[in-house]
Formats: sequence, C-alpha cells, structure tokens
Amino acid sequence: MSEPFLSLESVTKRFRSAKHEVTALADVSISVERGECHAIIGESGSGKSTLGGLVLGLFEPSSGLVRFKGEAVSARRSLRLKRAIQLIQQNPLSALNPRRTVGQSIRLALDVHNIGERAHRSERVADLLGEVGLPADYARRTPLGLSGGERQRVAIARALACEPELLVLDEPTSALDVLVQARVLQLLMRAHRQHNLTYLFITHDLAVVRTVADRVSVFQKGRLVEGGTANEIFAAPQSAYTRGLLGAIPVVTDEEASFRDRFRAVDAVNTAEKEA
Amino acid sequence: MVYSRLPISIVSAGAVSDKGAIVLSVRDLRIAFSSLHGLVEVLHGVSLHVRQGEKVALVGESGSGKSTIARLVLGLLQDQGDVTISGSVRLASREIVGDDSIIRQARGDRVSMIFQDAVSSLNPTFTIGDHFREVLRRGDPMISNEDAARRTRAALSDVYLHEPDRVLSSYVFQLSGGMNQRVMIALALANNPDLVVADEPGSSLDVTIQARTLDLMNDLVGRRGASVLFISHNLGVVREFADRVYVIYRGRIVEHATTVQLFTDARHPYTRALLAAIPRLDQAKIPDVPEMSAAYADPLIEHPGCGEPAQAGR
Repeated sequence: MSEPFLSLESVTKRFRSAKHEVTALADVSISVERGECHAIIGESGSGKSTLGGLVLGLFEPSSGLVRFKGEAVSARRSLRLKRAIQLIQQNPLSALNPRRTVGQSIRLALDVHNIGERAHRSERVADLLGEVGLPADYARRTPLGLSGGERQRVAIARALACEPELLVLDEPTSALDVLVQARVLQLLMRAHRQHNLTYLFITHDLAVVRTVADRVSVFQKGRLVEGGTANEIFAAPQSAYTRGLLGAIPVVTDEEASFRDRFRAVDAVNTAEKEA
Repeated sequence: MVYSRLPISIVSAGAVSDKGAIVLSVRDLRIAFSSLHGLVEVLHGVSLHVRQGEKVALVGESGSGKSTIARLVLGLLQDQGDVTISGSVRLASREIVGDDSIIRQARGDRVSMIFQDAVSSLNPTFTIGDHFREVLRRGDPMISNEDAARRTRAALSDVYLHEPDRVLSSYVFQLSGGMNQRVMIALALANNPDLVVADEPGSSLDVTIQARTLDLMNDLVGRRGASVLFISHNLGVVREFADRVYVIYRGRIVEHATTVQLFTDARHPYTRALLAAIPRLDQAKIPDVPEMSAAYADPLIEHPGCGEPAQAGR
C-alpha cells in the first residue's frame, strides 16, 4: 500500500495547566489523500483547531504520530516541511504584520524559503497579487488600509508564494460577508485545482463544506464521530450529532429547508421509538 | 395612544395582517461622524417602523450602518460629541433625536438590547445576580429584595437556566457562551419591555445553540407581546425569525418586504446577490456573484403592503 499523503495515527493531544488537564483530541486517526479538499467540522471545543495546529507542527501530540508524506511532523520540523504546509487563518489581520506593506509580507515568504531568483522576486509578488485578484499597486499598501476580503486575499497570496503542497485553512471565510465569502471561496478552489493543492478545511459552517469538500471528518469533543465522502455525509449522516448539526442550520430556500428538515425528522422518529 | 387612528389607506394596505400600534418609527434618519477629512455620512435618509408584537429584521453586511441604527434607538450615540444626527426617531410617539431624556428613562426598562457578544456586554466585576438587581431596580426603584429574587428566578427559568443559585453567584467568565447569551436575553426581557433591539444575537455561538437561542427569544417575545428590531447579516436566521425585513446597503434601505415576499420574490439586485451568495446545503457548488455592482445602489423597492405609515402626532 502506498504511503498516505497526510495521516494522523492514534493522535491524542492533552493540554495541561496547574489545575486542569484538557483532552483536546482523543485517539484520532485520519488520512488525507493528495489533491483532496478534506473538511474538518465540529462546534467550538471539538478539537478541530488543535488538529490544524498539530498538522502545522505548532505543538507535539501527547501520543500518536502525524505524518506528512512519510515524514513525522513535529515542532522541530524541517524548513522544507514549513514551506510545504501553509496556514490560512480566520483573521488575516492577526496573520499579517501591520507594519509591513503587503508587498514586503509576500516578499518575505519568498526570501525566507529562497524561492526564485532575487532579481525576479518583485515581479513574482505582482504576479501573486494578480492571481488573488488584487492590483499590483496593492504591494505598497498596509493591511490596516484593506477590507477584510482583501486582507484574506493577501494571506492567500503569501501562502501561495511558498508553493505549498498542503494548506491548512482554519475558518478562512467565517469572518467575511457572504458576497465576499463567495468570491474568496471561488479563489481558493481555483488555486486548489490549478496548483494541485491539498486542503485541510477546518470550519463549523456545513453549507460551506458542502460547496467545497471532497471528504469530511466530523469531530465532537475531541473525538472523530464519523467520516466519509461529502456526498455520503450530506446524503445520509450516520451519527445523531452530525444530523443535529445539519438540522440546526438556518436556510434561505424552501428546497433547502425540506432537505434540512429530513435530518430533524430522523431523530424525531428515533426519539419517539426510544420513548415508545 | 397617538397611533391608534391611522389613515384608512394604510391600515387596509394588507400584507402585514396584524396592524398594531407603532412602537418605533424612524424617519429620514441621517447620521454623520466627523473625521479628520470632515463629516462622513453613514446613514443617508433611513426610514423604518416596528409595530407592537412585530419582529422586524434589518439585514445588511458589515459597514452598512445597521448597528449604528441600533445604537441610536438605544440612545447610545446621542451624547457622543462627534456625531451629527438629523431626521426623526420616535419611541411610542416621543421624539428621541435632540432630546435624550426620554430614552435615558426608557433604556433597560421600556426598551432593551441584546448584543452579539454577551460576554463582553456583561460586567466582569459583578455577579449575574448583581446584574439582575440593577436591571429590576431600573424598572421599579422601590422593588423589595424578595420580589427581585422571585422575578429573577422566574426570568432564569424562562430561559431554561435551571440552577439559579449557581448562575446568580457566578461571574460572566464562569458560565459558557450559550449560558451567558441566555442570561442576557433574560436580562433584556426582565422588565417586560415594549421593544427589544437584538444586534446579531447568537451569531457568535455554535449553530445548535444559536437555534435554541432564537427559539427561546421567539417564544418569550411572543408570549409577552414585545416587539423586536432584529439586526443581522444572516439571511437564514432572518427567514426563520422575522415577520418583516428591511435590507440595508451602505446606509440606504434598498428593499422592504414581508419575510415571505423577500424569500420568494426578492427584487432588488443587491438582495438577489446576497441570497445567491449564500452557500446551499443542498448544492455542491460555490455561488458565483459579483462582490460589487453599480446596481446594488439602485433605489428602494417596497413590496405591496409594506410602505411606511404616515407619521401621526405631529
């Protein structure tokens, strides 16, 4: 059998403080194929962002192993791994240095990883801005002068500058207005196809997951509740937890409402059977 | 009540069946903030109204001016030095633009607010019990300790908080996000207000808790006959909660319809784009809509039966 692209093997992560110990992830195993968009969904406290942090190598698992193309991912990972796995956060303002211009931030990524010839890097910055739909003169602006959607585009340009293989997207569009969200999702999925990227798409928004994901893993309180293709999960979710999540979503059309209400109905029947 | 005799043409206008008295009336409201570059107008002549027992939504994106309206209705903008306000905002029939004594009296009693972020809206140095005492005294300065305790417990059980002693002795940071949100709803409704202004309630919560929060609000305001001005960016939530909807874009109302009209027959290019941009649970494709378009600034479209009533009492 071939090596999985990204895998978590019985990963447990505990955080300790003086008084408490919290198990953020409990014995989680998943594997992600090259080129897929793999969604990690769950509510707050489900451990989904902890999972993202482990894949990025921001901290070590308490037990188990995270592997990227066979190599163990840890806090002491190589520069090569740091380049190959990039992060897009919910709030791009916290991801971008407010004192650097947009051009400097993107350029820094090229310099750190020594990508392309020095003389061509300014040109490359302009190309990257073009790819995310921003004019080249944005290179001279600072993040504070941009809108939320524009900032997120800059963060995407910087991630793409590293020519990554895997992007960890942690609620990438949750802070954006719907019209902006639609454009940023279009951009992300175009980059996904063009560069044959693999996405680990972390979000609580199941409607967004439906539009982008190939496969889905559902988390609740640090445990993997169920996993499968997006088509399977949205057609016939196996766990009551997933049905509860789907059934709680506010929707805007009658067709969508009847689609959603099927999930509510299943559990109403189950409850009735239990009580009978 | 001044509004009890409205012109016949408006009373019979139709789509909104129950024509109660007008609780809130906003007319041609303009608000400008002074900045380094001079006055910046953020609301360009907004008119809206809320009747008794009605749940009216104001929907828009960030920067549209929806929260500015909420803050003005609550009287939280009036005493700010750098604001220029023109037009009219009437609570029941009393003008609150230019004279904030009325809203000062009414706030927390006849008019209350539910904020998006309960945690930062409650005072971290007071217990939940302290908050309730303060709010109840606003409604009735002479309230006895026994009465206050009784009403506090009733208010908590209304929002399904079943351990009143623990909740009342807790500070904000000792409760979960969903519990704080419920505490805030209970506080907002404690004095049986005529109008509740809800600014993105529950949008910082998980969907399952958000759904429960909205059910709860719906049920409570329904039972008490309170009116709600519901401010949100989430059209899905609006569809499930509101009777009537105003869509606001860059400081102008662009569409005004009943909830049914808006979700079956949206007519304004901006509203249509908003609806089209929402990812659908039943469709595995990313919506394709322009982020900007000149047509988004088209003039107001008012659906049949939804006009602003003539302003009485002048």
